[in-house]
Amino acid sequence: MNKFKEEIINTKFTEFYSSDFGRCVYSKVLKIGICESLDQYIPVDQFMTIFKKRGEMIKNYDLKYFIFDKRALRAFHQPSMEWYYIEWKQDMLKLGLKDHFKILPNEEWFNKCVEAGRAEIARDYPESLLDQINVTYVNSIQEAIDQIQS
Amino acid sequence: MKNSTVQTESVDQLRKELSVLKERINSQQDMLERTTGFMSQIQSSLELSKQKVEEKNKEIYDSMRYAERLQQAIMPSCYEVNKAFNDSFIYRKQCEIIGGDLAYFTEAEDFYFIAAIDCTGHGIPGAMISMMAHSLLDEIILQHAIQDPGAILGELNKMLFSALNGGAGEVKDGLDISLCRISKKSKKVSYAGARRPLLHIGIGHSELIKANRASIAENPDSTFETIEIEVEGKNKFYMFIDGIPDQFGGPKSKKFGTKRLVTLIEEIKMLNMKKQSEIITNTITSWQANEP
Repeated sequence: MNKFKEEIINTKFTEFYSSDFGRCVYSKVLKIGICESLDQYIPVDQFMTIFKKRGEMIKNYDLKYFIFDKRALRAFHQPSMEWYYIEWKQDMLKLGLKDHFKILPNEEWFNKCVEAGRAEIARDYPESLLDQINVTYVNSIQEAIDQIQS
Repeated sequence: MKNSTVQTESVDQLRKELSVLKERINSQQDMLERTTGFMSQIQSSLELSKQKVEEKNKEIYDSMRYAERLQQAIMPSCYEVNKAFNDSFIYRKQCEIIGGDLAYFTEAEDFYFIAAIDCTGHGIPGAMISMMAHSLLDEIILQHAIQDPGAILGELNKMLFSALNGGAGEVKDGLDISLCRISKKSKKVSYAGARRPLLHIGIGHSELIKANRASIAENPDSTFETIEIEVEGKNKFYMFIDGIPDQFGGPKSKKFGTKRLVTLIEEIKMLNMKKQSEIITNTITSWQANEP
């Protein structure tokens, strides 16, 4: 059983979408959506599909909190990340989702790459609405749920 | 026919996997380049910040060194004090370039005035209070011609309290002082203190004369008692602030303490002041050497 399953087993989450690269679950009661990356790399077309599914899930169930579990990832495609930050997140903001929680792999070098990627996006898109979005880095899904419920 | 379809599917699958692998390698290459660039920018920014901090540090250091010269200028010289009392010493060892420890000496009419002063705060704040204290003592003794030590401290208390609390915001600073007036004509020493005692070594007896328990500038209504000491024969007087007693060290990493200092002075009282100064310096240095 992977970490994701271990952490959500006692919480009633329903699967919305699953592929070889990612899985999306939600809880209507908690208003939380969770997406887990299942491979070290998500190809561009799969990334778009997963995120479009995420968007549908958030819209359909009026979710207010989103947890992105990236622990399996070891590589990301920067243009996809730009799309994720600049378009997807802002579309979600219009739907009322502004609280994002992220779980990064326990790899210092990967976290530095994320930091570098974020810095580039912030530099290239200074007018974006990123400052209206709350991003909290956590170590586990349970930690995110605890923070949401506190 | 069936085998051929299976082979085509396998080749398609492999091609797809290869394509994903290629995309992943490109993405990782891109991540590596971006992160290397980002880290270089951080390094350059840190180097720039380090350079600015070093420049600022040098400015502050130079400024402190200049301030040290100003503070030295108001300290009594050993020559000046020795001219008045031929067997005397001033032991001063400040841990920072400038600070709140001050020795004061002046003469007015038939009296010498000498004080050991410990201003609150370390470094620059302490030094600023010490400059104010020196200036106020000069004003009280030389301009207002107040000569009674208790009255001098009373006046210093009011003036420093008023100076420190006159602006916006309350200031909790002040000073502790041991002040003696020595008559040039008669063998009489008058003492007043604010939290700093006077050690009197007479012929066959010694006494640690306690100070008033209030600091200067703590309460504008504090009063300070003058204690008159008649001197018969060769007496010795020691004024000290908390610098030596507060030094940590020794085998149990404890404060040196007032009691140990008084005991040391009593043991070496027969020696001349130059020798006493050397022994005190060496004792404190070896006490501190034990401090981890």
